[in-house]
Amino acid sequence: MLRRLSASLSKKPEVHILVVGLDNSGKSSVIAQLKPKKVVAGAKGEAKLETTPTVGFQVEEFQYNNLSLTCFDMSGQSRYRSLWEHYYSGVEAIIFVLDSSDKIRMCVAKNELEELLSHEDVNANPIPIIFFANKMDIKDAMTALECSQLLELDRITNRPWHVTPCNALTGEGITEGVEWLACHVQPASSKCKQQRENHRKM
Amino acid sequence: MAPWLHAHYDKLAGIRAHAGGIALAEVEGGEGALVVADYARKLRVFKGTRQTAEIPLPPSSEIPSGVCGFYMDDKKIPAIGVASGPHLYVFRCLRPYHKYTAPPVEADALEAKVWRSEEMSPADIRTALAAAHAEGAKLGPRSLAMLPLTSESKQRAHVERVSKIPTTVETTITCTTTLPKASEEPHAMSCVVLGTESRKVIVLEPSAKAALCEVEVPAPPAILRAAGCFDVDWRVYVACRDARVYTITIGDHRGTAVIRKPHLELEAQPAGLVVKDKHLYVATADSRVACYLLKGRRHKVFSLAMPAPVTNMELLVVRKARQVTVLLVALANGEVRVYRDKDLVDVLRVNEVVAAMTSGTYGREDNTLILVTQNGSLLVKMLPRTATFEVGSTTAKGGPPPEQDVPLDIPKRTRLYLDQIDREKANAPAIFRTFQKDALKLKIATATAYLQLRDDDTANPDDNTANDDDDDNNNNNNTAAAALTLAAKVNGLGPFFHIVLEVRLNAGLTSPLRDLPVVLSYDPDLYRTSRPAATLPLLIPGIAAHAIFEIECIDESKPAHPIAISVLGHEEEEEEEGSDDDDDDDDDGDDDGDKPLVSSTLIMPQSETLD
Repeated sequence: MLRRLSASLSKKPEVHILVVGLDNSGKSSVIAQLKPKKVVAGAKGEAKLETTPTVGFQVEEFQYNNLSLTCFDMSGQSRYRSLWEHYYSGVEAIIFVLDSSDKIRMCVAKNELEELLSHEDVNANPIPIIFFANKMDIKDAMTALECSQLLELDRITNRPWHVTPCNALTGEGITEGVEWLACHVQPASSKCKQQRENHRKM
Repeated sequence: MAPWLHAHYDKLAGIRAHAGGIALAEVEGGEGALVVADYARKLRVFKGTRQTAEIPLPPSSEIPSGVCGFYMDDKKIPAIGVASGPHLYVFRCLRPYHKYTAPPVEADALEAKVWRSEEMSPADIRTALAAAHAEGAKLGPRSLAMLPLTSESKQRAHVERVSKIPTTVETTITCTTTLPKASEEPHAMSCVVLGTESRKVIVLEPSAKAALCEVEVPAPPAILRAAGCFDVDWRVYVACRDARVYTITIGDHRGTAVIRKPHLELEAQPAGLVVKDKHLYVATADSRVACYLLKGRRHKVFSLAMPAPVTNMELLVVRKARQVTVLLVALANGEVRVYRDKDLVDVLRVNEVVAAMTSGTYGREDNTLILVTQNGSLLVKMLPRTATFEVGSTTAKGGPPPEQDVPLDIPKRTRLYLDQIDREKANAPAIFRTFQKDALKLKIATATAYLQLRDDDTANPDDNTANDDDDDNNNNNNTAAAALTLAAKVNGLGPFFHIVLEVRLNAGLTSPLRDLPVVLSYDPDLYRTSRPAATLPLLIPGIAAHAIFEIECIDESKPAHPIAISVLGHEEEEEEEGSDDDDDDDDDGDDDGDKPLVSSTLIMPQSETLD
């Protein structure tokens, strides 16, 4: 009994993150930047800039600072976007990656975001959501502010959210975003404990 | 309701093109771009929200008639063909690459012979041409220009001018489309198909350097649509200017083409043509869209009436779990209607007339609809993932209304009803005759009554004078009653009321009455008004005069009291000015001076106090 308690205390808090966004927005690249560098370097060589379109989804588990992250890297292709909603219920944070150079498809991203936010599993749960305005290196890219205006992010009032510009090729801006997320996320274990307590009170 | 996402709207794009002048094609780098053959003799390329390239066509070229993207070889390098005049300009990597010229039209044999002969004088040439023309030969423009020239010098000048030019005439490409060569995969080689003013349909090699085959159709083609693969089996549907749709297909052996019967007779000029699975949809200039079966005898499956003329028709293939193909019909009233088979599933309101429309992959997004309006604006609409064009998903009318399926509540036939039927069957002639007799009687009665009314009407004024002569006192009231009609009503709940009077001249009075006073007489303890009397405006036969009095109930505890309303005659014995008896009344003026022309008592409602 005591041993189990000590084990659970020593274990890093586990956070499940859902990574969504349109196809070609750079979700897999963002995750590649999040992963500890040595793993990437060991597996695929020094510069892992090339990513192939994700099919279905991929699960990445890794340690980030003192958090144990489980990322669900969803495919953004329109035929796989219907998979997203199956993962809404068990996550503690959402990463929404935007291609800030693809202005014409911002309306599609907005539509998908609205679908996501209006889904009952997300709507009932005030989990934080971070928007990575990716591809800041491209000449015609919009600023993070423009992105948030196009997506009408100010209409999200029931959960913490944040927009951060980034460049998933160089890793610029990713750390800031994840740090924000780490501040606002409620790890699964503590949440479970809270829920249990609530139950007992009732 | 509208499922479309409004991706982009550029009012100032300044695109001037018609239905065939825009296409979604790959230009370079894998992403779908919009290519526009602009009337300004330019090839314009749009990517995302901006124009990325603009290539001028050669200065001698004409207004482009069509644009299409195709693949010339297995290298998957996209090429763009722009049809302008007799030429198809091919661009590759946004650079001019090659030019194909449609074969010129050979002059009529007789005509050519006339022009070739060296020894004929200009006058002889003209006579020979006139003879050929009379025989029904189709003459070229040079001969047609020659026919009306009568003076020797002009004829000679014309002959000298044109003799250096070959007798063949350049044609013009009217429409273009593409046909896959060997396979229908996305980047497979494809052939450009051209329709020309010389009534030819030409299938080009993928390299666009020579024709694979050509067919002559009975009229110049207006719209081309292709289906299938050239190497396997293919069809080219040609809507021609003779309001017929011809089918061109593979001939007896590969590389040949023939017109396959039966052709489709349209009721009006074609405005749009689309091939979907086993059906051919044709929009015609009489604002109709008809669907024909491609198999067999091409019988019409259905025909839809549109509220406005059709400007464009296009297919949109929605690739989702289930592939759905919907028909888009752009109308001259600024609507784009979405049909699934014959059911209207959505209406997109553009509020501008769509000049050109295309759908496909734009950027990375499939299911994109591109609209170019007559004002030159560019609209990009995208279809969200969740959009379903389900029948009945919109309130717009499509198909039969649901009420049609509800059975009517028809009562059962009773014994009495059946007996009645039997009786009517047995005595039909007698019943009919009785009915006729009664109907006739009714008509006579109506006519008599009408006649009576008319007689009374015209006789009335005379009657009045006659009566007045006899007996004034009584009749004055009668006359007054006959002269005026007074209707009064009370508006309001209290304590403030409006009394609205309507006074009109009765029938029979032909002269107007002027400035008649109206007086209210009421209990001053109960009611109060600032204006107990008023003057009526000019009373004209047939038009009512209105007067409104505001009256206040002072003492609400007492029961309501009636108010008397009187319309008085003039003080100078002119009460019955209009009733044609001035002379007589002069005498009795003293008696009747204060007599009202008409009076009425108005029952006032009890004032309801607000607590």
